[in-house]
Amino acid sequence: MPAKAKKGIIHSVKDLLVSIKLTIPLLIILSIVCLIGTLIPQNESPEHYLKLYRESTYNILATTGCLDLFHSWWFLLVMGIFTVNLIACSLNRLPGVWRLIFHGKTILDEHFLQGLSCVKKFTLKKFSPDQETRFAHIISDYLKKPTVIRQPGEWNLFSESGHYTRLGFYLTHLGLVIIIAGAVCGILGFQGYLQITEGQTSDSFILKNSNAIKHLDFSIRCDRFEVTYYGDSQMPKDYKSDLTVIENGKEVLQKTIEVNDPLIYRGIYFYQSSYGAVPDESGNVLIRVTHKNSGKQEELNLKAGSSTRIAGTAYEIRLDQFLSDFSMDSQGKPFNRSSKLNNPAAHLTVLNQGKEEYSTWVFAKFPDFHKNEAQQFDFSFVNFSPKMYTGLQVTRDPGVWVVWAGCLFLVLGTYVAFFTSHRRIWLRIEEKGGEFKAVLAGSTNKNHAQFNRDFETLFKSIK
Amino acid sequence: MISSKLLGIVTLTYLICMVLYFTYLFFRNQKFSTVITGITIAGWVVHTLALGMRWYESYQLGYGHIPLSNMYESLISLSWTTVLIYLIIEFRYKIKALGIFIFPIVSIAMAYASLSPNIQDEIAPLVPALHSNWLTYHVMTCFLAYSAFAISFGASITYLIKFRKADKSTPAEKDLSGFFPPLESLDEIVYKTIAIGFLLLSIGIITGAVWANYAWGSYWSWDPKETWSLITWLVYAAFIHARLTRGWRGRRTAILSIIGFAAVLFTFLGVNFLLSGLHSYGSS
Repeated sequence: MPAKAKKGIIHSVKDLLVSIKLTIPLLIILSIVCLIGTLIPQNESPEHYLKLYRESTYNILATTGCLDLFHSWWFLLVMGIFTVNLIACSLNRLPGVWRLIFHGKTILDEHFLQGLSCVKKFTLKKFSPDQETRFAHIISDYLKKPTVIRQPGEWNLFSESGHYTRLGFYLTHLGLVIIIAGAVCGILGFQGYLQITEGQTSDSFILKNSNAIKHLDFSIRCDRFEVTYYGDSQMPKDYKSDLTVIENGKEVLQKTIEVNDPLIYRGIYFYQSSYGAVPDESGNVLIRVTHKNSGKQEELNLKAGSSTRIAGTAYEIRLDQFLSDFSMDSQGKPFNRSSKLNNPAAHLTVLNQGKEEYSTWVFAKFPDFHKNEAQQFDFSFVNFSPKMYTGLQVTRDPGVWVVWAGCLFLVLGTYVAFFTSHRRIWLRIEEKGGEFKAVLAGSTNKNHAQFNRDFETLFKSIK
Repeated sequence: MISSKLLGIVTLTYLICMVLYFTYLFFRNQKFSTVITGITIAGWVVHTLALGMRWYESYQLGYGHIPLSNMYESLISLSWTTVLIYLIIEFRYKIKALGIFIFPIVSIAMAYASLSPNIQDEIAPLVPALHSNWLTYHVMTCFLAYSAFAISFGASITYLIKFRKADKSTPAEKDLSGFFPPLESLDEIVYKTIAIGFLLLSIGIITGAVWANYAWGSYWSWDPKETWSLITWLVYAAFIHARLTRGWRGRRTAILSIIGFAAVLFTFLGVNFLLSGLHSYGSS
């Protein structure tokens, strides 16, 4: 007996799963789960959570998967039940819908008539083939050319349009299932992060979930990174990186990416996501050299690590080091506090006939600082272009086109389901004792008000 | 700036409309009705001009973007779509009653946008992430959807008021409720506007996903705004299924529609002010 009872439970669970009664509760449960997912911050660090919650609460939330709710097993379970219910309910309705579309009533009978809201009965004195043609004509003006079924003493005209629109919601539901399938395909993809310094090339990046390094079949070179601003303001307008794809030693693609315009190569998307100045490395520094004796000035463009001769002298200046955020540690040793351009500074060495004579720091923000009175040159920091790195998000999602296809179906299906209708018109004429009894009937599955008005007009023109 | 002056006039006009629609409750006559509609249309036309001016002025400032970029512009654009959809429904169903719900909402939104110290009304340049044509498609479809839902909310409230009064009303109240359209029409308006809103919201969420895929590298990130738009979508999906497959009508669907609109409000305002996420453009 227990086995039978168990079977009963399984059956009733199965019945519930495929029942339309479950649909609305499921939609509401899904909404509530999503709501919880927005009230509890998702995927934050433990420190962040411990500021918000007591440790015991945090542990409960963590073990129940509430901190990564949208990827927790129970959220996926609810989504799974939702999908099963969606498919099952759609299939359950299919036979009925199919009958309505392909085997609809073409001949009126009394029982069917009672279920229709638009019915007009009238009597004709005579009925001739001419009149049949006229009626057929009027109906086809209104809907489509009617089919005429002639029986002894009875004529039936039937016209319908938009019977396929009854499939609209199937397209919507199919779209949803395809979107869910596309999201599942996304598991085969990856997401990661790649940082490339200007002028450098990289063929690997760091995966977001595992922090593992993943290699690409090609490499990406960053030729230049640039921030553009609105006029002279500090408001950034755009971030751009010039990227080159190199495959088997050949440059195969060049593109300037910006926010909202990624590079796409072999199904892998490279998005502009962050940037910064490379610490300890400068691109170019423009230095103004003043000869103390003559007061003569000249500007020298220095590259890191190389030296440039001061015209007309035996002296050379070398740019040793560039710090974007100059600071000193407790021993007075300079170091770079951050990669932000808070206090750019350059370390210069003056060489006389190849021999190092003295060194000095020059600062972009403090041009007069550190002027060495004893020396014959004054240096000041005019400008610099720091070496930048570009931060790229690397994404591959093989399901994305599946999702778009599903979205297209969903929108088309919803449009058809709401804004197109299946309209039907019947006209039955029976000969009874020398008179012709006529019944005009109509039905629609949507937009009843408009249909009723049209039906009245149709009735007037037929009568 | 001209656009700000015009928007001031528009706000005033909508406030007047609000008073007129309430007055119409008690003095119903055809001429008065035509005058109210005329003033509403005039207000909306000036509103359209003001938005166009603001767009043009943003080009003169060297930014050049559609007025949909921050809370101020969102509120005035959303008011614009709401009055537009309201006018369509008024013409389609020959119903004035919803005006008494729509114009208070619209006037408060417009006045709040101009007067609140928390809201910047200057034209500011676009942050790089918003530099895209998808801004127009995504935000416009979402706003049209929100507006359709606002109308369905108005119709649902009207339905519930009329439903409660239907059996136990004094003659005076009966006369008043004669101002409201029949229950069946209200029920149909609730359903129709939700059908329109649902389709537009679907398109709005999808255009958002397409844009997110271009700008953030993922079509769906469970950002609070995204999640709340999904919640709204699910609630209205529940409404549609309750009505079409379970035969719910009238009072119960009206209540579902009100819950749906609460979700809309939270998606539009609550998320910006209370939760943080990728959609943080709208909070100032």
